[in-house]
Amino acid sequence: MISRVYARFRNWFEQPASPVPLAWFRIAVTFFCLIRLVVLRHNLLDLYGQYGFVQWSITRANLYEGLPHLGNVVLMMERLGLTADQSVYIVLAVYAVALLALLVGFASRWSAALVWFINFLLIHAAGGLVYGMDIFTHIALFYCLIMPVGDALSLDVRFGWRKNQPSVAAGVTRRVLQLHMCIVYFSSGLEKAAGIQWWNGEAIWRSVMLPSFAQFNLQWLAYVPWLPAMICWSVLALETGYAFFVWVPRTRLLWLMMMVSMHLGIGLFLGMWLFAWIMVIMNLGAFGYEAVNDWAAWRSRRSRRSSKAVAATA
Amino acid sequence: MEVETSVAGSIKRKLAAFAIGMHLFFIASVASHLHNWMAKQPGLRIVAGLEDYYSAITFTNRNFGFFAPDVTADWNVQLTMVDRAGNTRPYLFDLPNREMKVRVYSMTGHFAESDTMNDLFARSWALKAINENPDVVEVRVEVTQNYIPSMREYRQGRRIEPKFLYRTTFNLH
Repeated sequence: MISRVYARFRNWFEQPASPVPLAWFRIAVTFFCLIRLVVLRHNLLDLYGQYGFVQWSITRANLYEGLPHLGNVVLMMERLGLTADQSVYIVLAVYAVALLALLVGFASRWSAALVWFINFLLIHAAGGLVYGMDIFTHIALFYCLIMPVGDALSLDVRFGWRKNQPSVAAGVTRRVLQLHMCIVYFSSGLEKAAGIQWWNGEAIWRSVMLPSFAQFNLQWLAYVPWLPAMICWSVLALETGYAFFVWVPRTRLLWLMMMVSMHLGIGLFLGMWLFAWIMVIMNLGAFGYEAVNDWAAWRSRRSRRSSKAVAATA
Repeated sequence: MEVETSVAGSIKRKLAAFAIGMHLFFIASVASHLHNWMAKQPGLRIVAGLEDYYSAITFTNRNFGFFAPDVTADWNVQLTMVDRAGNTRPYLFDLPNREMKVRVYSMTGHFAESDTMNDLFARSWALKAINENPDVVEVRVEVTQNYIPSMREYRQGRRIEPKFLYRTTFNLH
């Protein structure tokens, strides 16, 4: 019995899959990272510079022994006569070029490794100013590093360096991402459920009232407290239910659409657009391919049914 | 030769399976707070340490409870610069877009984590102000946290109000 379950699990987990969804994931993540650079262009030194909002001496102290910091790289570049600020700009320029290379799928493995490493340096250099968006971007880049993201829609394939064919690696790594997303949402839902604010609606009320986030005047919500309470319960149901309903073909597309809507809602009402988009990319990267297949299957079922009905009427 | 290839392939598969297993275990461990429990057990501290390292490198195994269990109120940072003649003027963070405002919210969240962080971050902001304004000899830092009334309190007339949290002064003398 156990061996049969294990065999079924392995069969499900190790099924060869097309690299095309991974290629779309690669393109979306790298495009997102480039947009993020553009959005932050006025504050690059404030974020990543030696004397930014949070100095390197603080971010370095918070990093584990043995792990590299942007300051280490800059120290090496100082030997070439470059100032710290010049070195940061050079590192960022290399980051942008590597992102472009990964976007078009040129030397995908190497460019993914370079992008991920520089992102690691940047995320720790700006240690005091990172939030969920940076964390998920780094996770997405980690998956770009371990997934065969250059096996489709890439220059690597055009040059014959990689083959566009289904592989076990493509299937397994996307399964890992899918399981990761389920753990993320399930734990996030449970963490929220542990607080009273997510049951009485105060969490939504407070979120839209925070001066740092408020996008619209939603003070009227205080007079319809059932509405924020309903939104809170919906968030709890969506997040905890994700781990279950996203595996069921009949509910997957609906759940994914609701999740994407929730993140776009966060973008709209809290102004956290970059966070919203990276979460949309993570969701579609994990389950988008299956959802598109579900949609196509539903449409063909529907057209078969309607043609049967027409035949019966005739 | 074929035997060698199949042995190498088998080892590769086992290593990949082990790596995937560890990756998912680390994610689930932190998400379920098993990590916190392991960090307190002398025999398991090494595993918790490994998880911390893995988290610092990949960020994959983090606590993903954003805005959970409660939504924390935000903070206001006010920096006042004093020049040699004793004139004062405010120092404002350059926040040209929403993205930077979100990041400053995150930064003040880190600032509020402990007294040590209070001082380190305040020192960092003061130094930034002095670096950008060479005539400045003193920077006063004041941080307040917004009190967000509950919906019931709001209906009764209470509004958002800043509450004092932290104050310090840095000078070059």
